[in-house]
Amino acid sequence: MRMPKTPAIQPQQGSHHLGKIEVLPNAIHTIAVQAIIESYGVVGLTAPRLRNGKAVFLPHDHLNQGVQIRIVDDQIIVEVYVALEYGLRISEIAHNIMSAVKFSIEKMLGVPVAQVNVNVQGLSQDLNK
Amino acid sequence: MQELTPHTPGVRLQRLRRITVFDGQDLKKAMLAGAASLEEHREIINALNVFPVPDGDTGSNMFATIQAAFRDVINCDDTSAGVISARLAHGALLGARGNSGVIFSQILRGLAQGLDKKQTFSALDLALALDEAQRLAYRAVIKPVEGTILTVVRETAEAAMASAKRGDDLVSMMQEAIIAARQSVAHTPDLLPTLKQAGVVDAGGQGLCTILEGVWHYVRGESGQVTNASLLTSSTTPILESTVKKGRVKIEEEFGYEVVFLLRGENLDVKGIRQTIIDMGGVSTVVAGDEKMLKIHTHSESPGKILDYGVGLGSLLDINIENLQEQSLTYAAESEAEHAAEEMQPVTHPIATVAVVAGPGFERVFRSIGVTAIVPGGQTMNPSTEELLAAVDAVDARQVILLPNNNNVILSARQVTGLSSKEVFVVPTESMPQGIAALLGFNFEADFEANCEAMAEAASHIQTAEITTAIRTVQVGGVRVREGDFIGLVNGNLVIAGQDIEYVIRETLQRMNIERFEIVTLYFGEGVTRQQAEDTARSIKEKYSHLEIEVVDGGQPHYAYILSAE
Repeated sequence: MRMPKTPAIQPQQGSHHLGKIEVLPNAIHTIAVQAIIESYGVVGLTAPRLRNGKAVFLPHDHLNQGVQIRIVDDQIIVEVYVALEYGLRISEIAHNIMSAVKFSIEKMLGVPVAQVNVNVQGLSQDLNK
Repeated sequence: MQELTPHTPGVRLQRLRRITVFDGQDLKKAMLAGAASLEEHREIINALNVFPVPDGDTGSNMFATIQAAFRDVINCDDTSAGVISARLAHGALLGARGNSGVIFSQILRGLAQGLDKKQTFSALDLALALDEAQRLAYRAVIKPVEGTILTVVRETAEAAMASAKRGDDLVSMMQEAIIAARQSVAHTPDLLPTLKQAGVVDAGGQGLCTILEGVWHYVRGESGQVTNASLLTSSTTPILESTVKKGRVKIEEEFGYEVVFLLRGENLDVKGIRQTIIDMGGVSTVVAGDEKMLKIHTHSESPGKILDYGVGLGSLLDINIENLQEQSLTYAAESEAEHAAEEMQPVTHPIATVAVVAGPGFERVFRSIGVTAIVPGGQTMNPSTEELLAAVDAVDARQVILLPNNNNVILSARQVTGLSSKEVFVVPTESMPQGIAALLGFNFEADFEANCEAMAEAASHIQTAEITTAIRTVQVGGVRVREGDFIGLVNGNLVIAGQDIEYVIRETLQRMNIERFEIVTLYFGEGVTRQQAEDTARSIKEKYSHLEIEVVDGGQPHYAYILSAE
């Protein structure tokens, strides 16, 4: 997998005299993805780039591509690319995603998340109706 | 509603009636009862929040959502269930707040799809709509988390479907549904470990269950009077039991202060901390969270001790302390008055009176002449239709006379007429003295119609003058007013302005043709002492010696004096 070359995060909690702990962006992706797929109103993660102007749903084992992590001054900036359920209040869902992602990463890593940017790339309609 | 079996007073049967069909207005009233139930319990639901869940105050969020749902429905007279449910869903979509609010809006959307184009609906229709609601609710998330509101809506819908397929009517089906919802909520800690650790049930699930409780009470024909029992179904929240508020409250020492704060520390022991706070005299204690961060909610006589204890364990955040004693005193006084008034009324004529009143003195006056219930409010704080509706539904009578006592409240009071299942008549009183006159015209032995007429008649003979201070410079009806001037109003119309209060009172009396009247009652407001009021009364008496003047402590805000003349 091609990951952006970003410095690893070093959690600062407690004292760790035995060695260094580094958390690579891959792990942060997984934490973010878990938080996103449990967020209500999200029907899929999408590729950051549209194809022919349309959102591309990511298959289950490539969900990590729907999240981009940048680390600036030891702070995490998360870009999230999603498709939401049609007929729900998009702004509220986006807020829920932001707080869920920020909360999980901060809880698990103890490193502040500076920004979570939610990019809504499409809406999904119930095709049964 | 159709096929009502006769209501047997005093007998609490499981099956009071049988309902096969509901229309849109029934749906609206049922949902209003659900919203009222949620409003009543929202603080308890807020307290259920396991702190480390990024969804602030579930109770308040869900209530904001259901309020938004009613925005286009409250004044809608359409009887089509399809139209009402679609409007509910649309309002909820626009106003959804928080995770649970978004899920709730999706549930309403599913219901609306299920009831689409239906004028009325049967038990089976509703079961199908609920099934659609749970299907849609699950659809909108990649990985549904069980042990949340999702589980509760699914299990409720399943129970409703099973009941409807057995051929049950709406009453029996809702009974099955509510039982399933309560059980489902009680089981949420088994499905979600964070809930179990924190020792609470899921707040969103409890919110949905609380709404359904309200609906169930409506369907069963008991509007209002929702008990807290539903909130206490979970064996994992035993500590919440002491929060049950009964209809008649005695003032107990245990109210004290409500203390809420977050505690951040290391290796916090949830159970130990909870026990210590209970041992320190904390009532209704909820301690939730994990070893690093806890949310603590308790009621205590001495909030300082609780905070000291917290400081010893770690650092405190978002500290919030409220005086419950004051709140409960007011509540107790109100409920006492309600019950006293009830006891005065002969059982054979259950007509209640509900009045909108501002000021402690006026409250005393209204109570002393037998008002059943009081809704606080008046100028600058008009009570909403919901508040009035709740008061009307809460009184123990089928027929209710409503006294709005303010021009701006009459309209919302009239809306209550259409919303309540009770027979409601609004006597359009424009001031508190008119309300008092109307109430004095109330005759316990007469029937509802005669009373409505007599009270309206009594109110119409009263002239009201009000003395207050102008809040801005303005010219109205030929009277120039500067900010800070005293102004006099007769029956709501501005007649005079001036710097000297005595002058304004004199002129106001003159313009209401005081010579024609015999009795004047002078209600003095919160900024005025009795001595000042007595002096004012004396100077009026000097000018108009034929008047009988009574001075009463009204305690009303904003208005220095309110005068009534008859």
